[in-house]
Amino acid sequence: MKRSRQLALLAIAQTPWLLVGCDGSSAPPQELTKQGFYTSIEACERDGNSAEVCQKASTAANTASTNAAPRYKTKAECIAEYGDLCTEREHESGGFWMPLMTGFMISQLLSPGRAPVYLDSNPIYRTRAGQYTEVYRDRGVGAPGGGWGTSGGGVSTRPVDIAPNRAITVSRSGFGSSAAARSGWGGSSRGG
Amino acid sequence: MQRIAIAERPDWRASAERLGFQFHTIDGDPYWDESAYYAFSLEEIERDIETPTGELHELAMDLVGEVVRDESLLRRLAIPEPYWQWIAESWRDASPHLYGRMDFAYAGDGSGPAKLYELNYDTPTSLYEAAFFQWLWLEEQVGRGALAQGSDQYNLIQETLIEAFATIAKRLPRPLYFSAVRESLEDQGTIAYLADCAEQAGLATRKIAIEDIGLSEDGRYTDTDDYVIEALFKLYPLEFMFAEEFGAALPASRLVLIEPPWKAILSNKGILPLLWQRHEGHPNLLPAFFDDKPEEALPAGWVRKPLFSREGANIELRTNDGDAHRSDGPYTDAPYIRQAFHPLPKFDGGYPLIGSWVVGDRPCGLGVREDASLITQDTSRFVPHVIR
Repeated sequence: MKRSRQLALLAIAQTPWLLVGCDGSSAPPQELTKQGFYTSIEACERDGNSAEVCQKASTAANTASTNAAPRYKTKAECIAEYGDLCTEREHESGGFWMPLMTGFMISQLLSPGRAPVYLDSNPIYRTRAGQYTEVYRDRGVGAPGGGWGTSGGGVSTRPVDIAPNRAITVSRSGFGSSAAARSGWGGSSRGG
Repeated sequence: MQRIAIAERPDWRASAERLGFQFHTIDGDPYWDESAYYAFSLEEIERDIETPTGELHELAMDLVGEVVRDESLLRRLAIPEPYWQWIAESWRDASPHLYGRMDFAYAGDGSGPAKLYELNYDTPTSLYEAAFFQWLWLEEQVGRGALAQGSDQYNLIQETLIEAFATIAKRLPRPLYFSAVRESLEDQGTIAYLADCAEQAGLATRKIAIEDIGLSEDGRYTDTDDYVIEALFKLYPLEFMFAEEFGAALPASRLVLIEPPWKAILSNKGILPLLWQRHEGHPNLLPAFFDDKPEEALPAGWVRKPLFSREGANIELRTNDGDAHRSDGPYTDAPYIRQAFHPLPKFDGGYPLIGSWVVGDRPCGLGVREDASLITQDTSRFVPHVIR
């Protein structure tokens, strides 16, 4: 065969879509996890997620942060790691310092023929060096079913490799003028 | 190669709109046309299209390596000097590239090999319709019994795109931004499709209109939330970017650009005379020369093209009998080449042009566009194909 046996569309179809061709063998349908890192509910919605999912993800990450954020005995220790983004928490066994959540990482399951399914959402912190770090429950460690921050439930951190690195924008619309100038011919950049 | 009429699928417009193909009709004119299809033999595909595509791709890539080291050639291709070093470095670093399309004139009647009209290696479109909607058409027409069981198509484009994204993912900062002109429904549809393929390869993606890209005080490009764009797929000509206000910041921006800077060499019509000089007589190449006297009348049997034309704009053509054809356009500001006239074959629906896709470095499928004239322009229609 000179053509593909099956093709899928995940995002541009109204719902994720998969077709196994006439001559196709019965390959298992594809499943993919889509992750998105957002620093606000608004940014989450702007990226095409529903308001409900974004709210849920933000709340879940906040709750997780309360239980599982890295803890420090002193303000200085916290600041050494996270700079100004530190806050003090009262606790029955004595107060401690922890970083403030600066964003959340939402995971959704994409599968053909279904709307994206919300899986979970983890808190993200920004280190003093500007690196974003995700705190997540390590499912391979600790008691099964152990919730966030419970004893034995392994909580781990990992750097976020889709770090939203910000810079002060001083100018916009510096690209696009050639297409506009040539728009009598469609304004498209189509090759051919 | 034959053109065969066939009944349209009654629900294809609804499918198109549900599956991301909003530009099936452009400005009221049909673009997707499934009232007919082109039928090829497997031999025609493999011997006449796929094999030459792979071979010409190799020759073109070898030429990039030569041009980046030769200032006189860079000047000849009218590539602005401030970008030379950046282009050369992108080639030396093997900056990842995704795709390209070669356009061939091919009659398939034993009249001779496919002839290369040009390379579209920077902003090739007609991708979604070739890679996805054409494939769906075949599957559904076989399913409905309108095409024989066992009918095939030369089309591994989408799965090769996903593989290519997965391969280059290791070298890309995340997320990968996809950008095109805001108002172009077609370009926006194409980048949405490419972003879908990238997501299927596991890449996180974002979209931004090319007009919305910002520049920071330290010379980096930003999105509308002031996040730095570190990796950008742009469906927007490199030579436009070079000429625009933000272009000067490109070399120092550390932006990973797809297509990469070195594609400026292959998207340039000047590649055609350079290929001819080095491989004169190659069966798939047409004689081509730099045209240093564009003000002179074009002799019969030649075609004049600007180095940077797209969509068949600003092409001047004189048939062997001396008939003149000309397409208007905005690309009047670059040098020209001449290419030997070699007509597109004539079928019932007009003149078909074969677009042969290369993804990564692999020939992987084709799409046919028909136009009512000898010059294929943005008025062309996409017609599906079958291997039988």
